[in-house]
Amino acid sequence: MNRRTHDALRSTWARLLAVLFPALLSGAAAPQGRTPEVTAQLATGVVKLGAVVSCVVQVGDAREATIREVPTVDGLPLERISGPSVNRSMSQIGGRIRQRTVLSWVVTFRPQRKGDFVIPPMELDVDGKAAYTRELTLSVVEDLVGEELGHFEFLGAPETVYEGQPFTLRMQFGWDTKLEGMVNYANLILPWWNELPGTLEVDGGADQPGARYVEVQVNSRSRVRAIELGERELDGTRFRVLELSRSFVATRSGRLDFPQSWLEFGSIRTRVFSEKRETYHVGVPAFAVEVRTLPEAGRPPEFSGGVGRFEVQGDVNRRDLDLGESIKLTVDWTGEANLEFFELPNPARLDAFDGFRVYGTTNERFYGDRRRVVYDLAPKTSDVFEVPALPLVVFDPEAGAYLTVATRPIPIRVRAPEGEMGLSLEGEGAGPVLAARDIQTRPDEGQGAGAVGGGVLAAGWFGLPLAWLVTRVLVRRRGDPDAPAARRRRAALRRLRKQLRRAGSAGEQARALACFLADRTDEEPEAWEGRDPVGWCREVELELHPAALQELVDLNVELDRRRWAEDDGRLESGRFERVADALLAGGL
Amino acid sequence: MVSRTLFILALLLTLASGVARAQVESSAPDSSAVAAYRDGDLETARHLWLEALEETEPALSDAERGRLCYNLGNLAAREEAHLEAVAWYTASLRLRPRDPDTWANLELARQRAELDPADRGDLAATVERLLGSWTPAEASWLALLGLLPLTVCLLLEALRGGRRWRWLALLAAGLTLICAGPWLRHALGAGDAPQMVLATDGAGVHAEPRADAERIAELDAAEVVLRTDGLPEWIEVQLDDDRRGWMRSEGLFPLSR
Repeated sequence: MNRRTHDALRSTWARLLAVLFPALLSGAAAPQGRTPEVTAQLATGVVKLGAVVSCVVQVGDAREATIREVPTVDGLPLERISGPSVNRSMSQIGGRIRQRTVLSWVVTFRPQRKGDFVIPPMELDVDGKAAYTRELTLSVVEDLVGEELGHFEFLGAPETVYEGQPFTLRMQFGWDTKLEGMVNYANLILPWWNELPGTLEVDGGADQPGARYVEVQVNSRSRVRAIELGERELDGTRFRVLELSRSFVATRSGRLDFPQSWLEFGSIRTRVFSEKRETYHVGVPAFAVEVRTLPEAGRPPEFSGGVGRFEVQGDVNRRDLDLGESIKLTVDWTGEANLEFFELPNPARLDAFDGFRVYGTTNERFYGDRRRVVYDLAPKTSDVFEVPALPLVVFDPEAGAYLTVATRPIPIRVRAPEGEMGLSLEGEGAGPVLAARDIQTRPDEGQGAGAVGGGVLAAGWFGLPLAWLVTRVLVRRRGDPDAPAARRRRAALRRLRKQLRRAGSAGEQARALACFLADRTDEEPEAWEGRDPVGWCREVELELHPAALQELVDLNVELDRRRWAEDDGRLESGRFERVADALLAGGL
Repeated sequence: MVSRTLFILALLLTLASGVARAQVESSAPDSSAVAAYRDGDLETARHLWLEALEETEPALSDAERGRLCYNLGNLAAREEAHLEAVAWYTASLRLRPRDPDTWANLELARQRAELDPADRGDLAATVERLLGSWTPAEASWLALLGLLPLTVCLLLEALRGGRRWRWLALLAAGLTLICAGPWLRHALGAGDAPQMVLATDGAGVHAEPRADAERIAELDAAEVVLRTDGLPEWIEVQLDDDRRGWMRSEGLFPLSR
């Protein structure tokens, strides 16, 4: 899957979740209605030979679950499975009590040899249905060396976040520049990658302009793009440093565990029958992020589900408009917040917008770093002087309180066309634009013709193409009607008239006549120079009217006489047309 | 002198038109209802118009039924039952889709009922209005007429061949489809029995025809649903998502009249 496809899928998924998230956040979905979530996390992605490695398998929102099968991996025998332990939590959100159950098992492996291992998906029975974990990768090394040669750290990982609050993990990693010529392999071993229960990964936005991106491997499987930060000096050593960021939104309270992460780098030289591998490892200790429930105290009923630091800007497409015209209010929400997931404010439900008719939104998009919505409004009266502030109630984690962010009121001028008082209703003072019309007392006998039967229409729709096909086939038995010869034949008379109008001498008229005869008989015009029409008709067994033939013969004789014995003066055009019409009527 | 003559002429014309109008009103089949309406006896007018609407012998034309629905809409509007007026005008437009008086009063009634305009003016609404501007009979003739250019183009394509006639035949086929649009719309909705929600604050849809049955949906005022079945006091309706539920018949207004 290429990156664009991946991004498109992620974006689609994010949009889908944007619809579902408010319900998720408000606890609208009942526990039994949720889809069970299955995750598996290794405690570390790299382990020394001889040590054990544990894997935590979790199933959330399930009534009952068991591990059916742990796949056998050569060189990585299963030591034991302990559990399940049951963790039940309750929270009150939006006045509703939400209960959540998480079942956890610890699966322990003991590696028997060094190397890279792939643990295939484990099969679980979750509420009577089969469910699977993801494939996991584990590197077993003889010794973890080279920590001083590499650099790996997490920047800005928060200790606590609120439900719905987005947070970004920035990983900076690299290796000593002295190894630059030797390093041809880098792999981030991140056991939590795609395995963070209770989070949604959000779109990190567009690429940074001017940044250089390089691809690095994650968990020996997927490749991701990291920003090349160049050389940096850390503790007296110069490192080539890369940065990889991932943004998440926590969807439920609890603890998010990030097991120990590793950067594996070095050189791999592949020969025909062998592979020489020299790798180093540098790790980051495990850490956790505490996800807090949004406080119930002080939560306004119109809370949008937005969590984070919001900024908002609004603008309109016109500030001077006529009554009855619509106005587009474009609102951009930006900031470090769950921009994709909050519920949009609806001006139709706000008293401040009573002076407007709200037609809804005409455009709504999420651009990675901003969410833009265009509202379609129309002032009801000319007494409207501004587009009021559009408020959005959000939770600010820094302040730990619910705040309202609002656009600024935008002054506008609404001009009422003469005689019109606006869209206001009768009784509202301004008087109606629409006037009620009286009852109708004349009998309406607009009977008109009766309806055409459906059968007639069906016969037309189906019969017409059929008739067309039959006619087409029959016509084409005599040849293609669009062939050049057929087109010339049809246009012969028109062409004759045109040439006769241009002809200035008997010779040119003779030429026009020859062309006409040639077009009708699919021959060259020269073939009709000096030809005896009567003999030709006999030869081709064509029975033309004798009078028409005689007229043609006479015409030819007259033309020849004028061309060769006289002054080449032109004959009357009507005579040609009469001959041509007679020949055509006779079947030429 | 001239001005006096003109004044007398104008007076005569006014009187004549008044007499003519009075004659028309008195000669209309629902003249008693009209008279009751003019006298402010709305109950009698309603009773007479409803009676006329239910008349089957002789069967009234669609246009005449549309006129009666329109008058009943005016009656409801006069009683300030704006939602009911919206329903009557909507029913009237199903029978006389292009009547300008009905459109005007419908928009006014919707405004007074605090509903969005029936014709929002956007592309979808315009297309919908175009398709719905034809009575079934007109739509069928339009569909038939739409076949005419196709017939000509197909005939010429068959006889003459050539790319030009093929393209024209294709365009004519598109035109035929467009012309058939209104007829198809009527044909697809032929068996429908649309109902409009009359409750100002919306109405609940129940899973079963019992007041204490689970509410599966809430419908807004003036929302239109299709009737699929009925029981005394209850009507089964089909919702937009194809689900079915039961509503109290008193909160629904049948639009097929």
